[in-house]
Amino acid sequence: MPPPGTQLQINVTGDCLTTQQAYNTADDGTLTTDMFSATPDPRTTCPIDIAIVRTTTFRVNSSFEGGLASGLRSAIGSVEYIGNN
Amino acid sequence: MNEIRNSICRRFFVGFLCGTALASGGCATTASTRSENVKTSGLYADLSVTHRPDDSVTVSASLHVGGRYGTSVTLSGVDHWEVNGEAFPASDPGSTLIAPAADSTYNLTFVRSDEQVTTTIVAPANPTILSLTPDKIRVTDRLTITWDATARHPTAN
Repeated sequence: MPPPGTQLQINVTGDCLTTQQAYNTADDGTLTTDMFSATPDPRTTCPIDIAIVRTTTFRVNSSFEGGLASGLRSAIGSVEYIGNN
Repeated sequence: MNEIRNSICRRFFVGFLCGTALASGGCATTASTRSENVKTSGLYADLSVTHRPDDSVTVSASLHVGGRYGTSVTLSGVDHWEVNGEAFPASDPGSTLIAPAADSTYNLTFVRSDEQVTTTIVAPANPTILSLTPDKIRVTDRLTITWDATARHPTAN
């Protein structure tokens, strides 16, 4: 049974991106992504969504054989991918 | 004589195949047990509270026997879940939408005929996004994300 703790994951998605990117990172307030992989056409543009998910885990009541309890909160932001424009 | 022996063998073989198929396929798709037949000390609990950006909150609770990936448990008898004293809807025993708690503390109680078992979950602080730089990303750019990391990490239990 893992001890209580907090994790942070950042998910980057966009219609013109060829890969979704997920970063499990320290909850220290900043992250710089890799360059994005996008469709070959450099004229393609699309909005990119950035979701930050903070998860805190807790022990379940010890009356159970075991288990995991978690609380999640998220925030979503957006930027524009403009290729070579 | 040989025909009779062959026929018996075929029937045994077909019966064996059917039995194997039922045992593997049947158990894999329908295996579950009733909660009233299992002591709390034999149950694995998987609980979560998800607080979304639109302030909707979903709570889910599932029970298993034999660990997290063991046989699922169907609530039966008087067994049920309550969140902050409110019962999960009977029609939706696995997950339910509730109003956010003012202090982000959610008490999930497994209520049985002879005991009430409460696990407390505190939703983490909202990871407020402070900046996304640049706001227009070119193919050679990297994105820098900053968020509020000064939020208090909750403790419970």
